[in-house]
Amino acid sequence: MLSYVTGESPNTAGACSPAWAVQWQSTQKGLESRLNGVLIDRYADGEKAAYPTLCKGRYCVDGETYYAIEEPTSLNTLELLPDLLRLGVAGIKLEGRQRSPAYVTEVTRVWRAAIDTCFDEPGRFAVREDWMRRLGTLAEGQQHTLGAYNRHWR
Amino acid sequence: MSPVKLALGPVLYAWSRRALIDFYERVAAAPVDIVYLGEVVCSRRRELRREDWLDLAEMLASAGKEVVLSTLALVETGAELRSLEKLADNARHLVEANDMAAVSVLSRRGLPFVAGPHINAYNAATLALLARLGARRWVMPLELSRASLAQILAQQKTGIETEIFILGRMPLAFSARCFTARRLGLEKDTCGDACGNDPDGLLLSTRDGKEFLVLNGIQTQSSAVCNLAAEIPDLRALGVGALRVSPQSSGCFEVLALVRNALDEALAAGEAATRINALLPGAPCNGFWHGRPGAEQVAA
Repeated sequence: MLSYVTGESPNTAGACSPAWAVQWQSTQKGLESRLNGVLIDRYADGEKAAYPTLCKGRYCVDGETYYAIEEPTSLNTLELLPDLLRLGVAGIKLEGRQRSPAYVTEVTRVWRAAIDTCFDEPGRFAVREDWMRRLGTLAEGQQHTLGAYNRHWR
Repeated sequence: MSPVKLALGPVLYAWSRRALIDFYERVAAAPVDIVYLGEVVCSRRRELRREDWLDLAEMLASAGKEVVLSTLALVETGAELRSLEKLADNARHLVEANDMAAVSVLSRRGLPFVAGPHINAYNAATLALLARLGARRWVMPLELSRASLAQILAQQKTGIETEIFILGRMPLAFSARCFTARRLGLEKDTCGDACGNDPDGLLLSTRDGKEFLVLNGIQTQSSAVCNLAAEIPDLRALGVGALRVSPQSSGCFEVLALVRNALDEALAAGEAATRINALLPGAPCNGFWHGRPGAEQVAA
């Protein structure tokens, strides 16, 4: 899908929404984000703008404008941490690409604290409210999801 | 050099039982050599059952077509896996594997197969692996270019046949989520066959009114329509063995006739491409073939 727009995809170039293709433009209709010329979204004053990732844009289908592919929510598996450790997961990958230094600083801080807490007392691990709040302010659309972990394998 | 074959890809949309049967009755008389049959996108689409597909396969084989049974591109459940196994155990027809679960099922049975366009074969080493596992034909992933194809073919020594998707809206992505159900505010598992109302999918446009994608259940397609008919002489020279046309609800048989004429050199390929453009449901594109963004149309 990305190579359809930019000529580069995760499969061919290891790239999702490559930075060279990103454009921001203030217009009378609002701030527009584009990917190689394709309008991914348009933001009214006061709306939080996101990096123009193709699958998280707002598009029109049958006359309705909405997040047609995915909601701009962030995966947050913090509450699964004890389960992940119990299963033998040895490393956690946090998204950094397409993110600001402020985002990376805060998210790594929260996760470091959570991992340390979980190692110290795995049986009593509970997600702290302030961790979720700090991550929440950084999440896309200020929304969290457990994503595919919500769904039971059939 | 053996003649380049004309292949009709599987119907990617949720057509009604009547529409599918009527369509394949016409296909039996159409100038195509290979017909891919079956549901590739969503196992919830059950207008035709396995027995119905096998009946169509028999009918088309009797009409002299090479029939290939296509598998789901995203196998998610045990039931889907069992259905895949039953497809592999059909005694008669070749199977097109559209994900690695299907490759595994087929290779364990020692059956030859077609590696479909949704298998990520991006280099000669992968192609050699697929050939070892039993692939006798591969359909090049749509986003690869002529240059990549030439390089892969120069490096591979397996003798595997190459098929190229030359016409139709391009399948770009599959997701575990259903975008047609999402549009209607429905859950995927209780969608009520939401996509049955869209014989060519749901058009998605950008907020500045440009046609962009087509939603087809869990599949996302290009709104622009791939047309590589002008490249037929070049495809032949590269040693490509088969050319795939992907079904649309209208104009499909006219398109097939024009491609056939170009293959038979009864019509210049450039002229065929121009006439085909007038029959397409969207703007033509050929960018992937030229190593450009897929949506682009590179002038001849």
